[in-house]
Amino acid sequence: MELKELAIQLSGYVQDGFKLDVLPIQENGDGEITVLQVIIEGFDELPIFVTATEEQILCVTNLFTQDEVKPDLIDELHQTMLRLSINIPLSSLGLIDDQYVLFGAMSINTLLDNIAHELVTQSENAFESLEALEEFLN
Amino acid sequence: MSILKKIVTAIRGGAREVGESVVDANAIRILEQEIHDQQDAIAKAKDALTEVMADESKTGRQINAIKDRIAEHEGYASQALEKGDEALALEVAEKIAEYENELLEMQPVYDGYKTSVATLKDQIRKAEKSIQEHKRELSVVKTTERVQKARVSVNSSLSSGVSKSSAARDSLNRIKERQQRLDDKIKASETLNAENSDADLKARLSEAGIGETKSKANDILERLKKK
Repeated sequence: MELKELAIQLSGYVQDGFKLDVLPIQENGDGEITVLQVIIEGFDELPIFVTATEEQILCVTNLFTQDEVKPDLIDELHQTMLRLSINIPLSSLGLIDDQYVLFGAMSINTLLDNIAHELVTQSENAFESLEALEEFLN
Repeated sequence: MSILKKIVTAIRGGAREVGESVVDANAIRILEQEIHDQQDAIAKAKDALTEVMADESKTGRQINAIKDRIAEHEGYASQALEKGDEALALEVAEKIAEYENELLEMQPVYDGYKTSVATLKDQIRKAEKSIQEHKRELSVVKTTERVQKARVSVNSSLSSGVSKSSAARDSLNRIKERQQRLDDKIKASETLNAENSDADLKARLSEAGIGETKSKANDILERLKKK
């Protein structure tokens, strides 16, 4: 499914009791949508950024930046994140530049219902991961 | 070097913009071009393969035909010998020698075709494997590029939005507060519902004359009259 199509179909979609809000982002102003910002009702501060390749839909949620981490706990944080990642179904923790993220990927052929469900799950996972890792933050 | 190895090298080299350093504009184009070239090569190899396979089978049939003729003529020669016609047998034997020479010439040609078929099949397999590898690399590169894009465009176009400006802890607290408010709201409306149903019950009880009964005008009048 193309991002534009996904944006149209996901906008206002209600999944598992949560309403989805979709904001398509054009990168170059040429009309091509490269990223969708999806907000799950109640998780406004943890938007999911959705992009796609020919094969995959990629979902990224920003958690915190490197400078938000207590410097003396950074090694322990990394160990904890590696261990924690296994316990989060279908999402993994990662680092893009200096931004720690929760990251999920699914097949481009995933049914809309399942995409919506994964997005809701990702928001819940992001919130719970942040809550679990709170003590490592400034 | 594999793409993943390049990425690790970039990370260890202290590159912050890992995505950009690996996914230079050329990387994707080169990979796509390589896949395209390999696909062309496969198409050509397959054309050549079908031709050589046709030649191989034609030559194979010819060889079998000659072998049949040889067997046939050997029969004739034996029969001629049995009949004591040595001259005829010799003539047949000369024919057999001709066929055998032909066979000797054709065998290496046939073997050559066979080798070509094996080589072409091998080349096609290799090209297909390499396409598969390039596609996988392309997928890694594109994923890296897309994720990078998501991050960059988010920072540039939404830097004023909540997502960027709010630190993680603030976000967490805001979500928690919102969830708490929602919980409170649910509790409040539950209490309200409970109270309502309570009031409702009292009303129905009083209508039935149970519990606190309301003073009615008639009762008051009676009381006044008694004074």
